Amino acid sequence: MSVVTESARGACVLGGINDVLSAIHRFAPIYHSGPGCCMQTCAGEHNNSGFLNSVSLPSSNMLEKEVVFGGEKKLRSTIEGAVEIIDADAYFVLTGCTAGIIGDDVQSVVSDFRDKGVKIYAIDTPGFAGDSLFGYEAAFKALLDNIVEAGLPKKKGLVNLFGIIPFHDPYWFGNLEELTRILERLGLTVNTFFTRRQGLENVRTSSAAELNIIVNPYLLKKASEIYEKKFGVPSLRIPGLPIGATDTTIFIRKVGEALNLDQELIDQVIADEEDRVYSILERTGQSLGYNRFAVVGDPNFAIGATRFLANDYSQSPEIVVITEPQYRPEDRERIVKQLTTLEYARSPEVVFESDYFKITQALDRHPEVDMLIGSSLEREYASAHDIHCAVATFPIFDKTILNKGYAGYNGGLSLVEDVFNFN
Amino acid sequence: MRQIAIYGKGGIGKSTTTQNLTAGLVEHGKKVMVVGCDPKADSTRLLLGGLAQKTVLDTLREEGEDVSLDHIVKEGFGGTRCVESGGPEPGVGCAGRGIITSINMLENQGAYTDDLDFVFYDVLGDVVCGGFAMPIREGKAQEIYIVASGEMMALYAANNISKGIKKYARSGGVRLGGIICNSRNVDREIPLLRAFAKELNTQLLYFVPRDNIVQHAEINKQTVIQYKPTSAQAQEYRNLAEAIINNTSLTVPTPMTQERLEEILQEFGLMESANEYQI
Repeated sequence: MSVVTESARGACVLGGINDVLSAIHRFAPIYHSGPGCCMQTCAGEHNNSGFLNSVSLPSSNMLEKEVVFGGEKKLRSTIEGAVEIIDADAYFVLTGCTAGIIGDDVQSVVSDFRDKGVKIYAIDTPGFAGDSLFGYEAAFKALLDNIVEAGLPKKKGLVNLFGIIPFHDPYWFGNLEELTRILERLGLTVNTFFTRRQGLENVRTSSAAELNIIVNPYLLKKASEIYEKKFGVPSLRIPGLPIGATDTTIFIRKVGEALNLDQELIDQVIADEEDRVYSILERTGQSLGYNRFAVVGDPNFAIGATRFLANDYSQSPEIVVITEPQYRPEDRERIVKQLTTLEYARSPEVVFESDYFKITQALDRHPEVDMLIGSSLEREYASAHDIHCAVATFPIFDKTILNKGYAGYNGGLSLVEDVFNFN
Repeated sequence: MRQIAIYGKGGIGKSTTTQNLTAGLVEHGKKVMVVGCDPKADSTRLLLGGLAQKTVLDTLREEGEDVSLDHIVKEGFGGTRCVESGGPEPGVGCAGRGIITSINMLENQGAYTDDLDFVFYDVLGDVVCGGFAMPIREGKAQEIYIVASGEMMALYAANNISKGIKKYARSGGVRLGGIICNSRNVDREIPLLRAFAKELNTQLLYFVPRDNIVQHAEINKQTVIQYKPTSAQAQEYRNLAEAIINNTSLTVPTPMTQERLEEILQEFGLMESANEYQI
């Protein structure tokens, strides 16, 4: 039976695939879909992610004629036009619901173009197959199936940093930048696919990495298996975004252990970074108050923020609402464990809920909360209940976000600034 | 104007029956339009004396949406109006949506004029998706006849089609007018079909006996009434036309379970008589 979700956070599969492809330098998505899909997926993802929308999307704009007679001819002319106008290193055809229902043979159209030397691939996952998170996984699968090269020699010190979804995490760019900065201090080279104009070469040679670092409590399970089996790249899962000194130091130690890095270097980087952030944080002194807080957001951020505010900043977590649906019990357990193994604080109530109204009902159970960290949607609840609100999770439609992030040592400082911003 | 949809298992003789029946109606002075709802576009071949007709969807594909009725409606035997919906090439696109598109187009272009007494929709095989149910949705065909025979698969299909009719009977006014038996000379065919029709809360409207003259007429691209007006089979089709004209029994069908259908088959049909054929 279908279930209605009020204010669903995100778009369909196409949204997630487009998130990934549009963040990779010189990759071009081509929609084989009805005329509204490009706009809707961008509105559902990019426009809710700090007003960044720099993608131009070609689309076959299927109408009734294409439905009845098949859209393959229109797709061909759309691809021809896209290849002529958009100078890209790789093109990907995304299948909308319309094309999926009538069963257009997208693969064969695409392989005709590939025979002519165009680097073009089909992602045959129609829009109705799932949500944008599933799209993120489907896009990785497409990259692994088509672009990543097998049999490359391992490159010492090369790591892949995954798990932070472009756009669906509004602070993805800054988060990846800060974690890259930290990993580079350890002497590593980092593939993120999405920052510093990384593109086709980074994706292709990602199989030469020594390690995948997946910063996410549940995503990319399948992709990590393929990396391991097909390309011999093991994965280290960091179950939640490391925010602030405590978790970032744990992050460094785990990476160091997995790669067998020089212990002295690790200790030195940690000491240096911790001293720097604490010297900045101590300037806040006693001026910032004590709060009972609630977090509403994706598990990656919710875990990071809850642990940082509780462990590093002595605030009390009362309730954490995980807004991304969790289907595997082991994922739920991993998320709950990260949220309930805190150093001093009492464990918060953990709720898995995507529906806006039901989220407000869960928050109603905690009238003691005086600080709410959530999305732009939660701002309404906070103002109705006269609670201080910090907007930090998807969707964000009332801020511009360029390269700010919450991950790492610097991210902890940013989170303090934003959480205790009382204007 | 009575709008009638003809359904039935693929190959059972829907198009043959519809066209021969139409010829019978024409002799009664009725004005008839036949709308073929099959991508193969072979529903009006006998009335037109060949497959020369351009389908609605061919026209739409080649000439765009500004199509005039003259392009798609052709006049056949005795002034019948013949239209073929047509469809995409096999294996691409959506034939079901094609039916919806072409019926909408016929409506928009004003093909359903007041002087028509009957409109027949000759729909392919089973009701496989929403598109093939189009003729019985939204107040189009109000009456349905299912062409069947005493063969097991024909009855399975008829029962399935009735499920579709029942669904749309609830929301619209569509009703089942009866079963037309296009005989395959199956043993005890009439008692079997009577029992089946009764269980389905309908009637065996008419029994069309098997006669090779139908095939001869088909080879000559004619209805039996044109080919051999004095033959016994031509009279059968005239009688069928009369049965349709006079039929007032329109019901909501009560499709049966697989088990019940097989019980009826065992009681009346093939399964029992199969033993008699053992050598």
